Amino acid sequence: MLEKIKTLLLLVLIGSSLFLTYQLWYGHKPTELTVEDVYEQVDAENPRLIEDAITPYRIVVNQNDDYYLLRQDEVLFARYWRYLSDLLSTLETNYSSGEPPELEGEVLACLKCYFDPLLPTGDEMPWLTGVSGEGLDMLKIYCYEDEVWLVLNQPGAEGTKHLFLDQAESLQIKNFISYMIIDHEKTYSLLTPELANEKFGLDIDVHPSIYVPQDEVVMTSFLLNKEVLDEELLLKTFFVDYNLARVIEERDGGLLYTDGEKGLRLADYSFEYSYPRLEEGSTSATYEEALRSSINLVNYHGGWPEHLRLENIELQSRRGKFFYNAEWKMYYNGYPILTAQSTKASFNDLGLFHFSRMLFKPEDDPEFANADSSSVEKIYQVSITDWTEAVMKAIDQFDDYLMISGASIRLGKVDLGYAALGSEGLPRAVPVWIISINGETILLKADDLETIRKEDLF
Amino acid sequence: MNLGQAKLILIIAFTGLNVFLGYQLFWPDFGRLTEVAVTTEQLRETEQKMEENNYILETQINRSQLTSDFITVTPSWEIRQEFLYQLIKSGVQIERIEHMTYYHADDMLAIIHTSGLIQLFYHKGISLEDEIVELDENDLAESVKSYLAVNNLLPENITFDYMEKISEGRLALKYHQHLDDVPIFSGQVKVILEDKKINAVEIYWLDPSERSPKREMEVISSAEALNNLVSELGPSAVKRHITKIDLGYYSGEYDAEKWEVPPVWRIVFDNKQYYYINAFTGNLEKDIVIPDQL
Repeated sequence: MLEKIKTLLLLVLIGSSLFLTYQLWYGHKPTELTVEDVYEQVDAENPRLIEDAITPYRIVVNQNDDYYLLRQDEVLFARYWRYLSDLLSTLETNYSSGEPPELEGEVLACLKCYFDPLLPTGDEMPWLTGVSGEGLDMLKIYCYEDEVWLVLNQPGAEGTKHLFLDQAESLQIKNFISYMIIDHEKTYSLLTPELANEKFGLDIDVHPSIYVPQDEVVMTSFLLNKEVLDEELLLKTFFVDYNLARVIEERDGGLLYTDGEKGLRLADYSFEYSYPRLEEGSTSATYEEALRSSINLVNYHGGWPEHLRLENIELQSRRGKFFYNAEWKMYYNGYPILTAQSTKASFNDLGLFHFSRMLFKPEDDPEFANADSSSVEKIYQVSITDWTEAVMKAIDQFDDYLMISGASIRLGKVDLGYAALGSEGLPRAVPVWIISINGETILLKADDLETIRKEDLF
Repeated sequence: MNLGQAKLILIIAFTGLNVFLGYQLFWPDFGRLTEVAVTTEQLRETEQKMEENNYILETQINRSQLTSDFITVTPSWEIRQEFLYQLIKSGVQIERIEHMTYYHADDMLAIIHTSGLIQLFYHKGISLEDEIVELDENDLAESVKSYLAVNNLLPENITFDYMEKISEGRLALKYHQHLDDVPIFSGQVKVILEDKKINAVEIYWLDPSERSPKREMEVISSAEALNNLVSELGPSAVKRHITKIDLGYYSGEYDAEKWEVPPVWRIVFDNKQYYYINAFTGNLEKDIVIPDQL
């Protein structure tokens, strides 16, 4: 019996000594290693190429003294821009620069391309690698007899640059502009101060160039659909480990995720992100670098939908700290959709500190319309009131101010667009006139010219 | 030598070996076999760093590796309903201003916020039934609790937290909520006493609706929480003493439907200043980062 106990005790001692030796030899896992490795790769969509990210905000074609306005999201616009983009990217070897021809003031440009944001040029850019500087805000193409030349407008000190194309290239451009069929498009007039004076009997300054439709315009009003994003993927793009973020369910149904330092609010038709600590940083990035960053940011955080256009990117400062603001707007058939809050990113060298993104899909196809909106008329046509009436109504709103201040009227914009308005709880795109007078923007419903306040926007 | 003797020698040898190994393992970190989050070396380093910044650790800290989860809470309606019923029965004047409803009675004003916060202000003060001779905080705490219970203002799962002297003759008693013996620092009752009378009561109580066991994770160590706080606050101009460190739940007060509350290390300075370090992220819990309203 005693021997059995000894044997058992010996076995226990051998076992425990092995266990203790193991513990002593290998020690304990450091705490840091016991936490599950939470860093995962996030598979967001590939960023857009810079040549797909920057587009002109309008292309004006002059054919037989008729102006045609081509804009984002239109088929012809895409064709023209593809052609021009290719031209500008291959122009390096077949142009010579020189002084403006004397007849430039006498002939009309056959094509004008307006850029906002600027079209970046120079090294490592897809366009005009030999042209350095801030970028272009306008490109004009003059076609006179056999000659074709380009005028590059660069804001700032560098002014304009003239490029003369070789014969083969000139012929190609002339052919492209002459044979591109745009007959079915609406024609526009250039609103000059003289024309404004004639129409309104007032002394009106017009800047920048405004084109107004000559023909009757018909647009549609349609329901906006919600863009559905992969919520988990979106969370992963903002939080390194979203398991550490807590959720706050707001009374309006919105969800707020926060880890105490940064916050992400998901609402029905938008999301918004904030990381205030990073606001303490500043930026030394160039315009081109900021442009690339903005492309990456919007692609990474929710993606860059087809109809979204980069509208603006500018360097700003607050409390001595510099940062970039980039803004995108949704377009439908060439017209912008105005919403209460646009898609916007603010970033500096530390990273993204504010981002808001609207989640609309401008589809007027009933198949895409919200399933629960059967009681609402999904699409209907809207006859657009003439631009002269719209401008007059807008000027009327300014009457008191103009009387008191004695300021002259400066028209900055007369254009059509859509306003997103709530309709039975659903956002609806309603055609509007967008008129800018002395820096103030006025929105008027395009059918009855009823004023839309900014706070009415969805 | 027979087999029995050989076994005996081996038993003695292995016993000696085990004692040696045990000594190596358990000293100086006794309890190393139960995983620790803070080694004695780390603790020394933390204390040293704090002293360099004029902070003195005057309390024991929990060195074991702990886990926790988020709890989901909603503002508690139970107390509010009961209290409102009593108020309306007594015939008060009701006034609504933005997110608050005011209930005016002769001797008191009650304000109920949409966030769930209840504030009571007694114009003449309420004398406690128990005679207060000395300001013993436990006696006071019990006496105040009795008053709250009698007036349907005492929530369940309440624990006396601390007493704070606001000014001469003016005291604040704080009680907090707990869930399974873990404090929820956000859920609290604050009672203001002036000249030994209850002057005001503030109740912000939460209903824990669900836990997230799937998201149970290891929390950062108390030493890491201390280091983070010191980094956040920077060096102190005067000596400050850390008098208490405990693990609980805390979040700001939101006007929301429901929200998740993270575990925090609550660090108390000189028994009067309270800081909350998120026990998952290590961040100092300040006002919540809420993107601008859309």
